[in-house]
Amino acid sequence: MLQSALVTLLFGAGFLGQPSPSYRVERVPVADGAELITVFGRMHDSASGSQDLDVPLLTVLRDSLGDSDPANDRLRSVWILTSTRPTPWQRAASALSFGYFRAGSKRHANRVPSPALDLASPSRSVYGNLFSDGLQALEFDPLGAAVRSTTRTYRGNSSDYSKLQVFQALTTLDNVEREPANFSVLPDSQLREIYSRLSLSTHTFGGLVRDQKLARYYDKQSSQMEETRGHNWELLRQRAELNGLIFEPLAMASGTPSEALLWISRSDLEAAPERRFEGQFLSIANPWTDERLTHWTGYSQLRYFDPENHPVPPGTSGARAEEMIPLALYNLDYPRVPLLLADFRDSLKPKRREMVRQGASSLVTGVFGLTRLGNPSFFAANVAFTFVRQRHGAAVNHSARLEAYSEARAFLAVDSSLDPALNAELQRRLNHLALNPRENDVSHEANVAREQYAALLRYAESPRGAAKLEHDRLRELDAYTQSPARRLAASLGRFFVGEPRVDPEKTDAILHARLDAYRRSQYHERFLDQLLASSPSPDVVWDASAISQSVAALSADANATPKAQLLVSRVCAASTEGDLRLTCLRALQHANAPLVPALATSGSVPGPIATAVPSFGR
Amino acid sequence: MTWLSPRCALLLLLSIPLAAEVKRVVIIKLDGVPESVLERELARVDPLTRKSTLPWMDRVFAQGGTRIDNFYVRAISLSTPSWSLLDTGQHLQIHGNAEFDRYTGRVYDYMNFFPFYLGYARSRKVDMPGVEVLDDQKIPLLIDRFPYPAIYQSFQLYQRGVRWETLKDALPNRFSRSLRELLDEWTIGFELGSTVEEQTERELLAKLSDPTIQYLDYFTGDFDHVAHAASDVASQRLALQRIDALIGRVWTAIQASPLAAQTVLVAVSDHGMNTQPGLYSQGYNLLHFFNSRAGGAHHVVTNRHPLDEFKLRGLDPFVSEVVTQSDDSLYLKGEGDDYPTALLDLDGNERASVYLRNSAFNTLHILLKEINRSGADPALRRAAITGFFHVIDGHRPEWQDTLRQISDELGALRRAMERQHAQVELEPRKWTKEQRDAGLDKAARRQVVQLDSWREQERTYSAYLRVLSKLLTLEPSDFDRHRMAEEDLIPKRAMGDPNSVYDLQNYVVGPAASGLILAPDGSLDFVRSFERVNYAPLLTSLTVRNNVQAAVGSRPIDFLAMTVPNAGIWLYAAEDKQALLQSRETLNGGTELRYVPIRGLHQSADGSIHYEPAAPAPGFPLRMFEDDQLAVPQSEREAWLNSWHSEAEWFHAIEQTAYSNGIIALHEQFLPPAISAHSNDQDAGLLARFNQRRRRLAEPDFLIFANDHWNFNVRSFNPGGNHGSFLRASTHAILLFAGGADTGIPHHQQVEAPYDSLSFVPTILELTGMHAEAAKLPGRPIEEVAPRPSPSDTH
Repeated sequence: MLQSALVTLLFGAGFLGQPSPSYRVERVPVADGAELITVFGRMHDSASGSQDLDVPLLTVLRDSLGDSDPANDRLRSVWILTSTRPTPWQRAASALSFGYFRAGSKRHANRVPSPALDLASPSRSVYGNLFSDGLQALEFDPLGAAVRSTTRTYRGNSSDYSKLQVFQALTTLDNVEREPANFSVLPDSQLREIYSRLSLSTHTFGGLVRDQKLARYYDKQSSQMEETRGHNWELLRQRAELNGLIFEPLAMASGTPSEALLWISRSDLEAAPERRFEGQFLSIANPWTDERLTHWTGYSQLRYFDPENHPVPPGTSGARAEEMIPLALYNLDYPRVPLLLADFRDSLKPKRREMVRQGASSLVTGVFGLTRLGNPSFFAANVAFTFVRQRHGAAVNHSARLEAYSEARAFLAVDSSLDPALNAELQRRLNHLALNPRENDVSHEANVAREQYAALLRYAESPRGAAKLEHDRLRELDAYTQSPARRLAASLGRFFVGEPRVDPEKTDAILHARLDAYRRSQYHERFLDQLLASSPSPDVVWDASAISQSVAALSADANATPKAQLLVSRVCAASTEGDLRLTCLRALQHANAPLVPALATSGSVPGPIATAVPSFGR
Repeated sequence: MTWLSPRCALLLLLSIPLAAEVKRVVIIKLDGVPESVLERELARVDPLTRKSTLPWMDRVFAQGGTRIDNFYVRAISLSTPSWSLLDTGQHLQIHGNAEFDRYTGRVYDYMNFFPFYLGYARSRKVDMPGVEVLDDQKIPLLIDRFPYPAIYQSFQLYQRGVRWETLKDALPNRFSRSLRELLDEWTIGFELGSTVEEQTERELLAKLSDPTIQYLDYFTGDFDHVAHAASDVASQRLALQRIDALIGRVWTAIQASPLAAQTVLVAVSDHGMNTQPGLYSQGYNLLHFFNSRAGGAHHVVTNRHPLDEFKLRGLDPFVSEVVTQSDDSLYLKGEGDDYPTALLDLDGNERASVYLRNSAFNTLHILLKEINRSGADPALRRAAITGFFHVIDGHRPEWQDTLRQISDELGALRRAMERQHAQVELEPRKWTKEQRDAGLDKAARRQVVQLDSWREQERTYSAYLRVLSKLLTLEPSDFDRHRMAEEDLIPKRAMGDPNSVYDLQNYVVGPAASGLILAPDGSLDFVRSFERVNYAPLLTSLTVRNNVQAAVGSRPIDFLAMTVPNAGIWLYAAEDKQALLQSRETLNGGTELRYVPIRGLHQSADGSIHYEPAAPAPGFPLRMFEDDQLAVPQSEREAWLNSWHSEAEWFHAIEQTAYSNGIIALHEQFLPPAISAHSNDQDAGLLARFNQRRRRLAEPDFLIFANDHWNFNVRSFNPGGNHGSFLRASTHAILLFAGGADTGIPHHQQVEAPYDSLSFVPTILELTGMHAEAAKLPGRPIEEVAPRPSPSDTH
């Protein structure tokens, strides 16, 4: 009767041997002392069904000035290699209001992809987004429902697609972070910086957040994610228990579960057909009275349980076998409640729900022109309605839904613990949620990513790529040496007359040396600044010799700023360690700078509530 | 003279610790920081900084102070009871985070700050609820040992008064930052929750420069909150690092203060946390169980809404009582608001306190409904009436005693109210700044609050007595004259007297499925007329279907504990795995304890207790017999466990076992409430007895303890970790000392000897020179930190 094979699988990642890592990080030196750092994922080959594709997913340009010292490294562009420019048809379709369908799928992309983010200048995208938001509100919206609706839909789809790719990249980075072997290529501090900046790029003013806040942001995000996963894991397990269903958490190796499946046992179904069902938070129909399950011919699995109800491998002594029917797939990272992503009895149910949510939003904002900023009464009503719905556990956060969908997509693409047939079934059902015309089929993304990576490598090695790097370095040097007004004038000049010519064949040694000095100086300043903010006595929380090195480096720096001297002076005043104080005093003597009078006494009371924990890229 | 000088110098040197001078104590109160996690993080060297992950705690306490490595919670590992021991040094008076009065239904909601703040703003409150209870029992807090103007107390469970200035300044200080800073925070997410803590820290740091302040404390629940939610190492490390940074700032401020040399800094936590990286703590919903038909179909009262994060009503910060009605109720359908039959305190989560309505009340209620039912079979009605009086007669002596005694006590209460009213009238209406600074306004307000509280007690206990009196004076013929209203005979929202073991083994949850049944002689067949539940085996045999974590078993419940009069504390894990914990007083006033393995304990209807002795074996409650860490050789264990031992002997033998000091903690948990000291005046004696009765009425029928990595939280989810049980992870707390040069606190000392919560206050009192006060307390001071002075030094 069963069309699908009854597959015997180990239940959960706990029974699997330690699989080889799903992600690896590779470094490729490129022209003139820079390097491309690329994260590769082991993905399914849709043709063979095996997991043997080594797919480049994310690349970062690290300008290391040709050495291995991270103190003078500068992270620059980030490319998400699965992200592509839309085809003309995708572009056209993405302007159609209420057009919730995938407009084909891009199979090849041989051009260098656009960077998702410039880590050296993260604020740039903020102003661009604000400008286009303003343009929408002031110029397009008043032009009537047709223009308003079309432009808003187009921009919305474009933004959603970017976010989808960013969320996928974040999932990748999160998993890379859990495998410390990768830190030799991409240090933890740099990985966290990339993660934080990418994540902040999905916030309106995220690009304006200062570097010294990134560590706190990352920690907060990580803790929040762990809390949300645990909360949803437990919520779903308890609801499964209450309703007599079987709960199966799904996790990447060494990670916490990010997705979960609910199953029902066929024998339970036959034994208790009229069981009470409390569907709150599950968003699925009552399985106990569902005729479709009584005559289920879809996918099922044979599972084994010991007397304590622990899932065990087949053949375990005393284990009982049960045939299990999958009911639903949930994402555990959606805030407060597990988000239904696939319903095995009603494939289109999650899609319908998502279409209704997006459709309502498009109707109100796009067609009727009611925006939260433009209509105070609508704003109040919307806030109240959203609050009540959210309080009752409804998934009202569009961005978080997108993130959940993107995570599940990324999870299924690299997961090796699931039965391939089940994985394929889940991917097929998840595909129904692809409502954005710009989105490509996940099976084509691997090819696209490899082609774009190849193009990127070619570009990086080309004179054009080298020239771009040199231009960026020149601009960086300007940022150290020129006033903001002068830099603004220079950019205007570049706008009209173009970039100055740079010979990519010739390495500018002086430029490198100056950049190296400035970067190191900035690095040490930042280190001491955050150290002083984190503790009233820096040498208590950090190795004194490392602090001495920074002090010595700053004192030896001919370009040292007054701020650097002030920092050294403060370190001197706050230190309790004799050698460190001596180093500081020598440095101050060398620079002819005085001790900071207010802090001259060791052990003075710190200012109220400094940053709790420093995190530096050392 | 010359030969004496070196000796004098030596003696002087040796006498330095004895002449230690502590003029100020600063206590950092850390909710739920477990010793194991602290140890792990202290020992970890950060590869970047090359320092301990907790550099300040390492420097101040590990290198420069004394760590008490084996410091345990006495009684259950729960905040409210635990802080009550740490804040008073006296035996336990408060047994849970919430308690319920069995006669009046009053909820003692110790954790809810909001009603306290509102009450304080309306001049109806002056202390947190826990402090009020301790005041009734005449038990002083540690802060009461210091002059009022010389203390700075932060916001906490046992808090006296509210400093509005702290709240008033908190927000402005939070937002008085640069625009750039605010923009960053807005994008990252404001952390308003820490606003008050930050302001408290500011104030504490400022107060340190005032040499007249002798006592300061700072409470933070940050770690507890994080660890309940997440078990991952990174989140917990960050929470500990925030505490570490705080300690750095406080220590630096102390060093810069005028009393640096005479200041002692103490860090103490109230319990540990059963948390394990990579493992989620699993919840079992006892509320659903007691609501269910199998669990007795009770209408259940809790102090918070279940799953309150998903309810609009869950936003109500003043809620202290929520009834969850059972759809399956067998005889009280829809009457849950008036007649709840179970009260649950689930806070802390590894244990639950269960109060069930007295089984006799259930029987009476069922019979009364049958008697009042229109169209009832006359023969059955007559039998029900006879049965009704049979039940009353079975309890008549004890109910009459209760009626008489409480009537006397309420009489004394009324007279006390009159005196208090007259005294309150004499208090000034306006207070000068000097009087307020001396705390006189609060002392006066305390009297007003007590008067209000007495009025409420008089009203609610009188209401209960009215019903009891009506029951006792009822005649069978009364039923023939008119229909008796239920509320006249069954007190609303009251649980009545505690259930006996017999009651709990034959607990009446409703009429039998076939209704009331007549015996052949026409009387009511009491055996077949009622549906009954035997709770202990039912609860301990519960299992779950979903068990996806290999390290977690499928049984949520470990064992039950309850007192059996004249037998001891009964611990029930299974029919053949039970134990009695017995205690006796020794001639020198000490206490000895004994653990007796038994099986098949049951109580007959006549009250007699029966059980069979059992040989110790694996699986008995507290699992000592099979524990490798039990400091008794395997061959001697059976005899040792069955013998009487002093508390100290038990402590040394068991503290490293999986259930740490469980024996001692259980004994403390079930100690009967003390009668407070009072004058010879008869009314004072009656009032003390009344207060003791109220404490006794707040005791649950039984406690349920969760198995490892299980919890009973229903308000939300606590996958990160939990506490409340006697498992060592939950009871093993932290206690750290550091002090200035004159304090005598030893440097770089780790104390291996075990201590518990009762040692905390006497140690502080010894350190601050209050030797006589310390000597009156039941706990022993930590000698390694505060050596007892010679008798000549004791005043």
